Amino acid sequence: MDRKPSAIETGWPEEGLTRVPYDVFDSGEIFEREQERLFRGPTWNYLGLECEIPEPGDYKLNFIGTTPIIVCRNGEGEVRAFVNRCTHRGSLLCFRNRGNEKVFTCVYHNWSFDLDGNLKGIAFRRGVNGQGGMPKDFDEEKHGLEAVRVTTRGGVVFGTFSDDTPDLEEYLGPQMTGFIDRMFNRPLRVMGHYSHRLRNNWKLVMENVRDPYHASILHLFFGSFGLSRHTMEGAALLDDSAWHHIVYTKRATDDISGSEYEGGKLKSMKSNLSLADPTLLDEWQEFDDGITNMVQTVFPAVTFQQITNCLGVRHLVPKGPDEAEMIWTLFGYEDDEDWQREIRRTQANLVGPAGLISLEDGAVTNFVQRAIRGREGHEASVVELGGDAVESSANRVTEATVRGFWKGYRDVMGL
Amino acid sequence: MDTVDIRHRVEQLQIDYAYCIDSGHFEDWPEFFTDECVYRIISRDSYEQGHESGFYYCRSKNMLRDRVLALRETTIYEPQRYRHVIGGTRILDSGDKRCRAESNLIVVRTLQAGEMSIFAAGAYLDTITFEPETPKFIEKVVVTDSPQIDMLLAGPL
Ligand code: FES
Ligand SMILES: [Fe+2]
Repeated sequence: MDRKPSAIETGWPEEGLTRVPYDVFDSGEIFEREQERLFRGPTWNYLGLECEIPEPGDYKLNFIGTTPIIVCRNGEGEVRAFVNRCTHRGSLLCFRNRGNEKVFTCVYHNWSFDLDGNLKGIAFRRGVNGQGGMPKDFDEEKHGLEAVRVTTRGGVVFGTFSDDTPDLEEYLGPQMTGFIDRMFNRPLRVMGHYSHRLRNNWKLVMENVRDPYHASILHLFFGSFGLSRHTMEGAALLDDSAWHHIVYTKRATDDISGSEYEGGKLKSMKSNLSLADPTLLDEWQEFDDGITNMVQTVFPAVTFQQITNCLGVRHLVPKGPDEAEMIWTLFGYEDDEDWQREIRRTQANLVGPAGLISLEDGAVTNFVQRAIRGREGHEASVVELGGDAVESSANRVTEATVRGFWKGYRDVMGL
Repeated sequence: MDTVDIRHRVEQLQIDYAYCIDSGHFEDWPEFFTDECVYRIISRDSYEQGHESGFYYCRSKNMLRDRVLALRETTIYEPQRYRHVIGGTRILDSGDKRCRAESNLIVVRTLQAGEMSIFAAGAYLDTITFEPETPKFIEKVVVTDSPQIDMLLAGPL
């Protein structure tokens, strides 16, 4: 069977960021290049929250791209991260999702590594009765675990494989860093953790979370119960590189008269609905800036969200050209009072694979994956709302934030 | 009530409950619960760690009704069916007025194109009242063995 050339050979469409060639969503060749250039390249990747590994020896597992990672706290209390691959013959070193260890010992042949990744022990190093064993000049120091460079901010842990990745603050720019500080401003407490299997390419999810266009259209619950409408005050922000984005809205700032939301002109607006138990949407104003809805992505694959008082991290892990896993961590703060925790957990009904305002996302991204099959040649999607601008705006009827993702993608992928 | 009687009533409740969901009669689903009730769907791992948040959390019959309202009016997803198989019910403690029971559950989901999958496996942790006449759930915690949901979880389990 003839293989159609991918965008690697044919180049990106000449229109630039307003077109996205569909083969970035299903080409195996592109998927492999992403692992090498993007996830092993100059990017900061989400690894977890410090509160998940509070004590020395605590560890959790995660991924950067498809690479399995151990994140742990060493004896000095510093966060470390390594590839979860024994340097002997490549077995997973840790296979429980979390735990506490003084040393990591591989089950296969018992090579062991300390919490800084150094190789500390080799079973039968000297053989038995002078026979066998490792060569005398075998250098343990050269066989430590592959280290990941780690940085933390506000209790969020990021890792990178590349020495070229600038400091996180420079990577994000001041505005995006400021939003991290806004939400991660004191000790956290995890309230929920689950995974969402998506039957589509991971980038369709990143487009989706960076796309303010669909929110009040696809998610009828959103518009119907006035959680977010384009008529509310808000903004779609990009940093200077455009790699990262934030979309926020401030509820209770809009007037729908004269807009498409009025009088049921928009299919997505069912203003006749009312909740039998309105405490589902109980909330309190948590942040002084009045923002009630905020979605922030850090390129390439993590999202931080505030849906009123439901706070969370969605970390996307690619599993193949047409499969991905979104790992959700919902959290509050250590100093939350019981009533605040109750509100957060109730609002958690809005998000996740069963979420009242997000359930449809797993469906539509899969719809795209199915529909792009069997295409003729080099069809591309149209990302032209708001023209070809790749910049911040108060207006959220724009796909500039999606174009920003593709700018970052092309910068790193050389496409 | 003797234990045989209690077992019979609990199993009948589970059968009716499963039929309600599998036949798509979501409007009747809240009626299996008392006015003040708790219904949760949460993974085993999260449940054991004491997490508050899972996939579903309803703390009144009206919140169950709102889930149904959302399913009917605002939720968009492809046609699909659940088939519950509930069994292995253990009656944990019981009195004349209420009991606690744990049951195994498997839900097969069939999508419109025909694809079938074991969508959920896990346990129901139920607290059931026998007052008034018809048994109802005071609390139902659906603990799923997997922390993962495939694509979306629309209807209740
Ligand atoms: S593969 Fe780890 S010790 Fe052999
Ligand atoms: Fe969405």
